Amino acid sequence: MRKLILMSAVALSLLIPESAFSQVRVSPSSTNQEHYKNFLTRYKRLIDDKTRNSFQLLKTDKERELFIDIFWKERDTDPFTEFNEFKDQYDRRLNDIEKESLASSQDLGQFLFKMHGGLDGDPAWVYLLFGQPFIKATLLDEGVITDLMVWVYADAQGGAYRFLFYKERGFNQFKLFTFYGDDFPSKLQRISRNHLNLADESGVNRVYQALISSRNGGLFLDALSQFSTYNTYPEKELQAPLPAAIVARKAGVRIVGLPYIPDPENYILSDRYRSMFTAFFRIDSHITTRKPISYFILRSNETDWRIVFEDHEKKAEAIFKVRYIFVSRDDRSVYIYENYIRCSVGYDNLANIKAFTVIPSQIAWDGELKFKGQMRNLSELPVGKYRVDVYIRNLFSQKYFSDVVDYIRPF
Amino acid sequence: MRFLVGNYRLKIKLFGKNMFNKAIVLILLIFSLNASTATAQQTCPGLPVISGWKQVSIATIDKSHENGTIAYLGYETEYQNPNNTNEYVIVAARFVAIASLSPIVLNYMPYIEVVGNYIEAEVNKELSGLINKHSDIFLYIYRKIRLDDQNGQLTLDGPAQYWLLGSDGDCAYASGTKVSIKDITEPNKNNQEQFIIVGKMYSLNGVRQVLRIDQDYFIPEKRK
Repeated sequence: MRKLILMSAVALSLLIPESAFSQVRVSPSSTNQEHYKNFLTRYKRLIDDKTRNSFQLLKTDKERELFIDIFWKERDTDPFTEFNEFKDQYDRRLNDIEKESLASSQDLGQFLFKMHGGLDGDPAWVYLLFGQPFIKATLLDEGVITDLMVWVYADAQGGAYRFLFYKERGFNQFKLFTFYGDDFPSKLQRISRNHLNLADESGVNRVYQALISSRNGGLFLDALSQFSTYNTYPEKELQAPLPAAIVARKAGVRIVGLPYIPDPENYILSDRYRSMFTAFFRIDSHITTRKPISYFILRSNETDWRIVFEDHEKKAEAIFKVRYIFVSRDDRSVYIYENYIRCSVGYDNLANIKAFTVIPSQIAWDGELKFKGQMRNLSELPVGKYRVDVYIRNLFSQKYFSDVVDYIRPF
Repeated sequence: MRFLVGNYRLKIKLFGKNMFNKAIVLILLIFSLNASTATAQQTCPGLPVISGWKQVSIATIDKSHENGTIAYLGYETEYQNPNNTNEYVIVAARFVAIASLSPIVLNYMPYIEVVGNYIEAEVNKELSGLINKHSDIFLYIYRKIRLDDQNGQLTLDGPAQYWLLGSDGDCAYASGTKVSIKDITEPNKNNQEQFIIVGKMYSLNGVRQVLRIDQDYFIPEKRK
């Protein structure tokens, strides 16, 4: 498993003495100057101003190499492999752009990145982030409409992203269309080849008719109407992607239930079992009252205890979460008893105690009733046949006992 | 199993939901009871000795919930006898049940799919700790296999043998009778029409071992 180094570029810059910020920017050493310049140039779309400034403040090649290493590690999309899948993919796409991989595409009519800004152009930026489009089309020399190009991508959920490129009047490079906040006539105005007054309804309509009757007209109409299925905007989708490691941190790795004993010296931990404790569990009915009686007999040497001082006396305590869920065999009604039960014993007596009993049927829940069918006492259980899910857990160590039994509450 | 309880008194304290701010003290009656388990203790012949055996596979015992949570309850490992490659033992162990919750999805999060990789790395790290420090073996399955001359398929050579440690500390042994393994469900406390899988129950000759996750770990609380 690859070890993740999650130090951000900003954090790295904090290692630099404060006085460094007041110094004139130091050029990289001449031996690796090209390499570092290349890093800043080729990957400029991934490097924001803050990152660039931090990098340029570094003094030694060792620092710069570490910076670059961390930069790519944070963006690695699969830490399980020895490869950096993100960098590899990005480099492949850079290569595609430099080798004009779309030049032979029949859908695009000899499209060349270098004619449209090269690496600095909008088509290159879309390609670097999204790769080969699933669907691509151009609309060239179409009378009243300026030249258009659309690249469509789909994600795993079936959502679509439609990057529409157009040539502004007087310019020959494809630019990304970003005016999705405009009303539709204004959008048509932007893609008209000639200057168009919005008040000229017939002019606007001509542009519209030309669009829908053109080859792939429906595709261009969709792209002009809505950028993505998710109602996002191109500028948002083309932001430099957050490093994968930061995405993961933001999403949050959340694991619950781990045992956590902060101060082992104040605990007596059982080593008989490491994940459980055994229990003699019983649920039955009182002979005369017919009310449910239930208890657990637990072994002291299987219990994890915490040492506390109470009334100037040293004691050992264990706190259990106890839950019974009764599901009626007849009508699937549900009844729930939940409680937190604390057991304590004098510390000096603990060694003499082999077992102790927890009797939930004698302990009422006095907190809020939060669930339908929740009972304060087991005695509230209606008459009937039940399947009972029983669960008791030591809150310190998370060790637990569980069982599934049948129980009949008689008349 | 015999539970010997000496002459003592335990104070049982009750705490409501807001722990430690209210206590009702109950005095437990003195026990002089020697209780035996409800189930008759089974005779367990010696467990298979697998030291030096080769581990051929390991897999977690886990349950996925529709909200993206995965509950991890234990693991199973299969060993092969290097001196007789037809012999295998499957060992199942339980650990403290944990849940890996589904990631928080922000409104805008490119590469959301890579989150899974990082979460998996973190979960694997925790599972490794659980396997090494917080697990107990509860099941052994011994089997011997052979090649069937008639159809060329691998088949059991003699009955499989099972040893199951129950939740109550009892042990069951059987030869030829399989351990029953079932998913166990509970009603969602907040939506009792919905039953959610919370664990697994292993049973053999009346002895049961139940692996369970607390549904509170992954079902958000909702007021009645």
